[in-house]
Amino acid sequence: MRRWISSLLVGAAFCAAPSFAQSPDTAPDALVRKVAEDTLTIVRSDRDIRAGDRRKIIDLVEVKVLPYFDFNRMTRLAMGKNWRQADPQQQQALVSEFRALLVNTYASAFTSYKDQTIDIKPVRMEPGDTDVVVKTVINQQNGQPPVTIDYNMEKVDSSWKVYDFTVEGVRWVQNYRNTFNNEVQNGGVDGLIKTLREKNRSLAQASGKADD
Amino acid sequence: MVIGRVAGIQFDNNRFRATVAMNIDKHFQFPKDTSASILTSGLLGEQYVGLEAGGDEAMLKSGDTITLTQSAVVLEKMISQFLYNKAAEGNSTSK
Repeated sequence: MRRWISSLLVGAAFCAAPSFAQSPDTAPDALVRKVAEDTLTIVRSDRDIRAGDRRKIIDLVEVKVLPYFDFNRMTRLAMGKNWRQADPQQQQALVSEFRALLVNTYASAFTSYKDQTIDIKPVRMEPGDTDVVVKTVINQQNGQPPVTIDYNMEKVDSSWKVYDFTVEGVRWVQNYRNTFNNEVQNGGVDGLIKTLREKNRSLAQASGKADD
Repeated sequence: MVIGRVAGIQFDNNRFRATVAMNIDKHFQFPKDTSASILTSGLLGEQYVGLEAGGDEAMLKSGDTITLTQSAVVLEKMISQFLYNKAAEGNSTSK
């Protein structure tokens, strides 16, 4: 599971710092490629990150990855019809916890980065498309099979943002709908928020032990 | 419950993906962020498209496109990947 997540993280680390501005003509695959290169350069060369410094990895993810993920949209999609059951405060908490869930998952994976490489396929789209899929393949070392990760990206105000992704055929955010819905059925929106907080706490603690 | 039929499946060679056209009974209204997944009825059953309503206030109209899609998951592939990862984990922790 860790190697799979590690590949997920390598794949997700394609987002540049805000210093990389998108022009209206930036193609989504060019964006993915540029950001992957920029981010992986840091991962490969930073000694602390290679040694598994979780704090530093989280900072990297926050700066490089998150600007290109539309967490509001992702949370709304995962909530489905339950989104409107939540008040603005709960909605804010949900976005925050869902964001933290992904950060924690990625941070844990990056601590086990082992020289994977990413291959970004040319995007198949029609000019004027605003909803595309950018396909990537993570090539692993040690004879492990490659991992396919497809990014669902939407163009909003001339900027491309990720709103879902598919790892080895399983669509991430869309599949959280079932989990979230079950939690809401059992314990309401507050129950879901509580479960997410606990999950995030245990993810952060588990990796803390692993770093010892 | 059955609410419609697949009308046709085409391959979009420009976008390199399949496009499924569906006819849905108009008594059923679906929000714009409805998701469509290819599911199998039981272990050996036939495949069908499962629609799960989203939370968008705007509804899908005739001719609209559902972009939240989940392709058919091949269970055997998932299991073999799971077993591979478990074995890999076992190797790394036994150092």
